[in-house]
Amino acid sequence: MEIQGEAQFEQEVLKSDKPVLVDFWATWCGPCKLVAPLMDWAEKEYGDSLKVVKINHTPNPEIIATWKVYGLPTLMVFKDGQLVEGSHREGAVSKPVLLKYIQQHVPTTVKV
Amino acid sequence: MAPCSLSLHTGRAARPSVASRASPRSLGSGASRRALVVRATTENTTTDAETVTDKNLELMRHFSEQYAQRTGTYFCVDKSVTAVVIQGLAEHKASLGAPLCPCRHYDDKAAEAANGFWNCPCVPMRERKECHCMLFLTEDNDFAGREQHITHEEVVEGISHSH
Repeated sequence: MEIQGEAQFEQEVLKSDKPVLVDFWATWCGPCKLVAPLMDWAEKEYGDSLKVVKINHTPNPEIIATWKVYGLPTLMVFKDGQLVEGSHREGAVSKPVLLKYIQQHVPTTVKV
Repeated sequence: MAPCSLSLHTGRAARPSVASRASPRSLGSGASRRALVVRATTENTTTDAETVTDKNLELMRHFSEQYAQRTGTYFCVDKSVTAVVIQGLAEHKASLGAPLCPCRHYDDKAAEAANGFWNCPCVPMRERKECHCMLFLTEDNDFAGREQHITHEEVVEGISHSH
């Protein structure tokens, strides 16, 4: 799910009733392109226990500034309206690395 | 928006235009109604902006090959990643005058381009061969391929799926 604007971020991420994996990306960012299909995979794989959203940095400068996103892609996990400590991660990830990341920061995630 | 160019026409103006507001009287009595008209027309030509970006795309492609060879680094095993970054660098070169790293957010792109830290090759790359754009990868990187060349066709193919 692609979201835009602070209002939608608040609704879909901060007020989500389940953990949210957020992928910040840019149009001409190569590693972002690599990560994108892994986000789609995570969304399918973890079914109802994890929401996955993507945010393009260009039209969302306020969100970027609030959460101090600089390098792209950046992954973050939010739970109960809070950033999960240690989940702010810059750079591309492989599938095994993403799996480990999700298991570490979303321990309640149940693999479908 | 369609590309347009300015063309200069002389002779009888076919229709009123902003440039030809002079009344016939001001042209002198008996003078034929000739007016100098500058009229914008649309033509199916490459815009200057597209030409600049194409030139910069080739510039950054060539630079990437040379720099990879010089530093002993390699392109990503998925060359569409390489292509996308090259396109991003070319766009920044065209718009900012410098190949600002396309894999970062900037509060002020012009200021960052002037500063130079994140102009490719960025300082982390120059000092530690750290390229988070995955354009230049060290041999031990899981994503590194074995190539230091990328053709223009490969770049075009790689970016064609990213629009």
